Amino acid sequence: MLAIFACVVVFGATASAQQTTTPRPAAPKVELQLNPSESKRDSLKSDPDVQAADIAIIADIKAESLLFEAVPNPKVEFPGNQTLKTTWEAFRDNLPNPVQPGVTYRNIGIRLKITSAFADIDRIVSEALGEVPVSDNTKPTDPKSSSTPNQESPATQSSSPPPPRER
Amino acid sequence: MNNPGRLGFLFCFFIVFFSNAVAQTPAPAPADKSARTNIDETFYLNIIERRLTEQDFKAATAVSTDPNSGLDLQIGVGLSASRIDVHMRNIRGTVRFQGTLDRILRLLRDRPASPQPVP
Repeated sequence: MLAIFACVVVFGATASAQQTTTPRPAAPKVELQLNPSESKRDSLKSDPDVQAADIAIIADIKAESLLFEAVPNPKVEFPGNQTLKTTWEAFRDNLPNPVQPGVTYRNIGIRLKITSAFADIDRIVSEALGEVPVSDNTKPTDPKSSSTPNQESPATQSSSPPPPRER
Repeated sequence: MNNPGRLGFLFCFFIVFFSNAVAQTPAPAPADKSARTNIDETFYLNIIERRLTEQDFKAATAVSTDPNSGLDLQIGVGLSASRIDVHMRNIRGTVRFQGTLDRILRLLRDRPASPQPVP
């Protein structure tokens, strides 16, 4: 319900504004819906990358036009207290990288797939079951690291997923 | 602002379009006290026209176990941007978020515990 409420807040003003500034009687209302169709769900479930992931983000978007007054510098993070293995694929149509402020890009298409999974699930399970000592999680594949004080965030050290693979 | 709805919306325009800066960070404090072990939400976008402006935007979503259960696991995704100012027309598409700890929880459930824990 929180998501629905937020979406209404975010998009509700748009629908109202369009009625006063650019009347389009036949235009569909702005909408953002939960509860995807079964076909979409099924296609994602069959994706082996998604199946193997502990967290996945999949986007498929088309736009008639986009204009950035200011080009933001967004930062994407994968919070967590375990080392993660993240993969990232991005496909862009008619959209350069980076984009330029004040330029209108038309007929763009974007497909994105980000998947992230615990890098050493066996160790996590073994630790949880008390089969091995709890490590600091910084280098799960290196047994020597288990005695090293955790100076950095375990996630930060492993972090950087590979840069987006763009096509 | 820390909710999956807004996060879903902005993923369309910022993660997808720009992000080269990616990192993994310690988990932030959860937005609510109750730990969620599963998220599966799909947002269908159908935006005719809109201008979006935001300052110091931050959003995140995650799944986690209850630390009091003896297993402290968190995994999620977060997004931040200092300034956002974009005009958009006729945006259509879907953004799906899926997060689960089922894989680990299943292994824990199906595997017998060690009789003598290692100190």
